[in-house]
Amino acid sequence: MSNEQYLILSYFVVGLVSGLAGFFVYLALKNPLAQITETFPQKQFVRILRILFPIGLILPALTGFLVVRYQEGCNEKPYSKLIADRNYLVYKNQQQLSSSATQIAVALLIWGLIILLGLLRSRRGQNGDY
Amino acid sequence: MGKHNFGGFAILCVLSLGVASLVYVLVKKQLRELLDEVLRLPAGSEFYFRVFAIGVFFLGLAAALETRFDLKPEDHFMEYAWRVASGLALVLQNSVWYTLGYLVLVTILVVVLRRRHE
Repeated sequence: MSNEQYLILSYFVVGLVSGLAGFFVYLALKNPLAQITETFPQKQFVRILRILFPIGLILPALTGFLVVRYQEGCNEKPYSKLIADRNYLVYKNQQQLSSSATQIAVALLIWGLIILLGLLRSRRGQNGDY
Repeated sequence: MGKHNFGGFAILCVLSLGVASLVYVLVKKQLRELLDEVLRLPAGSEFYFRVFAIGVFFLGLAAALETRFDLKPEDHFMEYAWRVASGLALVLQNSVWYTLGYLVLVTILVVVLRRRHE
């Protein structure tokens, strides 16, 4: 396989893997989230959360993949030089996956905070002190 | 990536998974008990527990993937060891930062929800 073929194939495969990573994390958390949101009093808020939750995990995963640039810095390498080094191409794939995983982890913490606020609001509602 | 570099990378991946597993095993029981007590909602405990587990494993792997293995076959053994060590440093750093971030989240959870229960 030539380096250019490798670049094309790996770029789309890694993009797909990144998106799927976000999707699988969503699947892992979907059921507990649905059960938590059942306790929330505001049904509109629950509906919005359920729509935004998968988006809020898949988009960061894809963003992590997309932010990695092949041509970087002031003196950008020409395309031919860029694809000459297979090690560089492999490292870029590693960076894409790494960045994607990092973005998912950060998104998880933010979602944890959002759910915490929802829980607090629902407990307030149960105690009757709005 | 040559065979020698792949070997180093594989060792680093195993070590990063080992660090993530160690962190996970160390806090697993206590974290589960704390979440059960504070949230009083099994789905809530499950959600926050999975957030922790997924985050720790993802960030461990992210650090391993961030390390570049471009050494030559004629390079010395210690150069490989140093490269693995620098990757492992990043793995530990990510694990610490994620655990601290999660700890802040759980602290808010405990402070806010415990006050509600009392």
